[in-house]
Amino acid sequence: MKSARTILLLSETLTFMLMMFLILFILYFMQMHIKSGYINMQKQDISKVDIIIKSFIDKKHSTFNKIIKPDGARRAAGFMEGFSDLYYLDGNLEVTSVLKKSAGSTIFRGYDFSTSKPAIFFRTVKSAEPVNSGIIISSESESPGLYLAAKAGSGLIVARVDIEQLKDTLKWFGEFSSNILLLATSDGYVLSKTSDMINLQILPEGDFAEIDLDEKYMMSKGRSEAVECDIAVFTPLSSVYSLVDSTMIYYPLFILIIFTVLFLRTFFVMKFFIKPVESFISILTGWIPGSCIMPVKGFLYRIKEISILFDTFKDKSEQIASGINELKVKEKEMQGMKNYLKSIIDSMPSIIISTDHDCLITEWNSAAERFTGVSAEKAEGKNLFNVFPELEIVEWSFNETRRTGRACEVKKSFNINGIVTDMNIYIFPHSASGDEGIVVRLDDITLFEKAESSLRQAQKMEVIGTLAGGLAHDFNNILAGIQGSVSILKLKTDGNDDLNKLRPVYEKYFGYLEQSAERSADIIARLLTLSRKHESVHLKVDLNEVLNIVEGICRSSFDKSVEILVKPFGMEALVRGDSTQLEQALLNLCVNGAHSMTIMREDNEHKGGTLSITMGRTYPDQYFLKTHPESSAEYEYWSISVRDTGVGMTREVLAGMYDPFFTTKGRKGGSGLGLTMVYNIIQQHGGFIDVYTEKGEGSEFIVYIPVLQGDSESAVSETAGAIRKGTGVILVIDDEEVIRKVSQELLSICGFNVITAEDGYSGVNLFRERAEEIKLVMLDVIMPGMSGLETYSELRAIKSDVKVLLTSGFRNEEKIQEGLEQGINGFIQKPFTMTRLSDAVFKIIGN
Amino acid sequence: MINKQSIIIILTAVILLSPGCSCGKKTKIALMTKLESGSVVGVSEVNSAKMFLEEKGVENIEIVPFDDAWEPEKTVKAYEEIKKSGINIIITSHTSSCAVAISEAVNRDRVLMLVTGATTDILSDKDDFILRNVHDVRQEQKLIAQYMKSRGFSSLLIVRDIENAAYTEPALHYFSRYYNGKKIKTIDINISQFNAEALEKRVRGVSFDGLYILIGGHKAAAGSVAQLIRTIRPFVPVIYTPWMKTPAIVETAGASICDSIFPSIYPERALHSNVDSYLRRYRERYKEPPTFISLNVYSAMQILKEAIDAGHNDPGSIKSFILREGTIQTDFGPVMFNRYGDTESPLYFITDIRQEFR
Repeated sequence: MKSARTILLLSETLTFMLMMFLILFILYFMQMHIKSGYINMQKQDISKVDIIIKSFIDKKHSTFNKIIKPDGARRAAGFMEGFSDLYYLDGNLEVTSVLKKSAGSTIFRGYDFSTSKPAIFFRTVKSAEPVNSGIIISSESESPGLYLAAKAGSGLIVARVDIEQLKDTLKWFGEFSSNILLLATSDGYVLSKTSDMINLQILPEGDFAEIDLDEKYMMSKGRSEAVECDIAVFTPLSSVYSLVDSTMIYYPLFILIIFTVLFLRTFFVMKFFIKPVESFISILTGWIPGSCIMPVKGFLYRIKEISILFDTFKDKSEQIASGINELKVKEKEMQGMKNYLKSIIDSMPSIIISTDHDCLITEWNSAAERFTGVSAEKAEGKNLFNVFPELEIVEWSFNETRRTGRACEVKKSFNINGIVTDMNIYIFPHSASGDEGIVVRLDDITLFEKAESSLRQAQKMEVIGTLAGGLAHDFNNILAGIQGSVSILKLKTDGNDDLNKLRPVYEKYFGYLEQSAERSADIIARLLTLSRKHESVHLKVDLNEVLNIVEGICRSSFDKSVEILVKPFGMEALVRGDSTQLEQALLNLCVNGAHSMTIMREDNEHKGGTLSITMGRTYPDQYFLKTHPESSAEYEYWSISVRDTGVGMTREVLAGMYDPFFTTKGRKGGSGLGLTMVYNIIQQHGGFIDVYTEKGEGSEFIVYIPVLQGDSESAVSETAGAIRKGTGVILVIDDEEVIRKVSQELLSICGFNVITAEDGYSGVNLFRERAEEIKLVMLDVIMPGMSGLETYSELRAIKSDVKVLLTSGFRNEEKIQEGLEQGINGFIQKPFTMTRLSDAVFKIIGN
Repeated sequence: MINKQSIIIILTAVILLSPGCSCGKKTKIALMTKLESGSVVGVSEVNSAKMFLEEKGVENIEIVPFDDAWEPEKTVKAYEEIKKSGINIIITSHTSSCAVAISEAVNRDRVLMLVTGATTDILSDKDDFILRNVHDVRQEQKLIAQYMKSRGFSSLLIVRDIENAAYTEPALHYFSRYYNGKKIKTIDINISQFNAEALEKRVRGVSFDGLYILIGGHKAAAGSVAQLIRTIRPFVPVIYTPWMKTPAIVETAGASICDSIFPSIYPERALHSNVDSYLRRYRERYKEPPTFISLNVYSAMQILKEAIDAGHNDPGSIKSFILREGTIQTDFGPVMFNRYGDTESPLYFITDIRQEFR
């Protein structure tokens, strides 16, 4: 890219050169034009000369005619004046008579022309009509001349005309012009010239000739056929170009004028345009944005436009400076705000991390530093999952939020340096300066979880406590049944050894005993489930089963004045969730409903009512979505409605019902945690709760839980099979004698040879002795001394493929899980029926 | 920026104002001869010089013809023009009177003059700037006299042209000396003002059996003299001077050409291939035969070229080179210079002159 100055200089130089070329062209054109004119004039001269020569020849012919006439006129001296020589030749071309000869002529009577140049012409003369030769340079005269001849008898009469006569005729040519006339032979040898000033032997070639030292001539050639010679006209170039030459002296002046004009133009453009622009540019390049200080140079005001431009620039720069100052102030404020926000963010106990669209960390607060041990300087700019690899477990959620732009919340546990921390991870999108990034907030909810777990546990305890009264009644009934049956059996079998007669009695009352035991076991299982601490495990759960379990508990524990109506869903109602928590939540709602119809009524009111539990499926429409903002069009929902005809709730109660420790039960019971738990549980399952209530009429709680999409692991379920029989030795290790004896009895009925041990040590010793023949070991988890799992380790050391069936009164003990992971083949919960026992045994050894 | 400006301005100035480049330097040689219109002589010499330059591919020599019309006054003027043009090397092809007219000026101005046509002994035996590649008159006439003696004429008629006295007077002197007392009759004429009747009358009164036409300067009119005398004395042998060996003589001599004898510096062309070749090349190119004096000019060009090619281009060094070399080889044979710059060589007598000009 060239500067204006360079372009200006180049353009001016080019203009100058073009002007020079133009001048040269004009001069050349003038020369050519003039030359053309002169050439035409020369050609005209040649034509004139030719005419003159022809006229001259004609005159000579005319005179010669008169001479050769036989009337004697030929002898008139006047006629012979026109000729230098006049003689007769015989047939041999010898001179027979000399009528006239010039002084010094070598012609004499008897002179032989036969070998001379004119002889060629003489031999062509055939008639008495005169003919003329071209110009001949004959040796005898040594000067050019032309011959006229005519037949005279057997010979010829010949007249010679010296070229000097022709020259005399053409003398006028040089008198009236500066042109020079040359006559030349066809070979170019000059015969005659009208100027003795030039020294030319041979006619030059071309249009120009330097025929003397001081002058160049322009030449035109023509031909005279009359005398067979070339006519050349030379015009001195000084005449041709005199006009041009006269202007040539002004050429330097033209150049000077053009140069001066261009120079002045260049000067003024430089002064009034280029220089101001360059100065402006230098001011601009040296200008510091924000600075109002600007050097003002006078020449910037030479031209209006540049002056306006400069003034405008000055004004704008002032505005910019003011804007920049303002911006700086704002920046300072923003920085202050940023610092303030950073302080707030850093002061927050939550870990707050923000990333850009590419997962590169942009913000890393103090809590993040403390938690990860990575400083903000090291973290910023790095990939989030490289710096905080523990977050990879939520990478899917992270990507989903980035993709959908919707926030999500997950709970995860981190084990960092052996310390397990429960974190609530909230991932939400943000858009900063057009860059879509992500903000991750991690809150340590370990204590909260513990608290919640405690709360749930407390709530469970409360529920259990609530249920305890009802359950105590049930248990008393069950025990009564058991005791009664035992008493009857003792009575009936006393003193009677006839088994056949006793069989119906045994069948009847042992049946009662079995039913009571099963019922008790069922109730205890439910209680255990509710009572123990439970880690949430989200698996595929059929809500019908949940409903079934809750129904069972309700029926067995609620006041009989409460009528329970259950309407399950006609087919599988699968959700992804924790069956235990769901049971707890549903049970809680049922308990509340029962309370609202019993203990919540006034003393003078009729106790009791109807508790309806209905399950359905909801397909959200636009109205539903609108009225249930927690819902999503992506899901369908199972609905479980728990409806009572109790006291209902006021607006105030409705508003605070989910608040922890909010209760309306006063002294009658209620920690105020129930609905809080229900709310939390349902929320954790991605669901929500609708409440309809009317004071004095009752309430309806509708729980919505998303329909399961995709596969999920099914909850462990036990299936019952028929009693099977087998052979072999089974070792039972249990510290309870009753369990050992019952197990031995049951397994013997199944066909096995059973040996027992009362603790881990003796069990190991026994196994060591009979390892090859023992098919299966039934092992209690909880034993004093060597625990069940320790015993298993010893057994495996003896025989690596030992088959073990673990037993315990608790279903989901950690140790059971641990044992299963270590390789224990199966588990059965106590108490167990023979069917369940045989099924469990053959499940392990069956194949 | 300033450099660019300067360069642009300088370039422009150079383009506009720079003069045309000058050609390579050539040594200019003047050729002084008769160039008047219609003259055969002179044309031959100029053509011969041009032919030499072209055939030999000479690029460092330029021939500049000057006309002196073979008139001493014009010779002097022509010399002045030569001097004015800055040329200081001259080849002359003119009469002895012309050569004598400028000899003093040539030596004064230290201009080198190579004489190809003047035989005057005034120029002989002098250490000057005048060199000659032809005989002087003494040498020439001695050889002619010896030939004449060998012919055994009892009575010899000499017709002498007194117009060219510078040549014919010493020529007759030397001829008479070397012819050694045999009977000689001399008739003087002015060939430029030839009067056939007067001559006829004078010749009729003389008894002779041999005719020596002592005319120099390419006077074709000598042929007319021979023709005229032949009408009085047919078949008389006519001996010319070497300067009459021109094609024009064949035209003017008529039947007397059959009895004519021409002394010549070069042998018959039939006996010298280079001469024959030169004559043929010239005729092919210029459509007419050359004068024999043109061979002298061709030979002189060759001598000067050798000196110039040896690095000598001023008269003094060229003269020194030539005299130092002594013998210079030319196409037509060696030219031997004595210490005065004169040459000696044999003379040939050609009887069939028409063959020489075919």
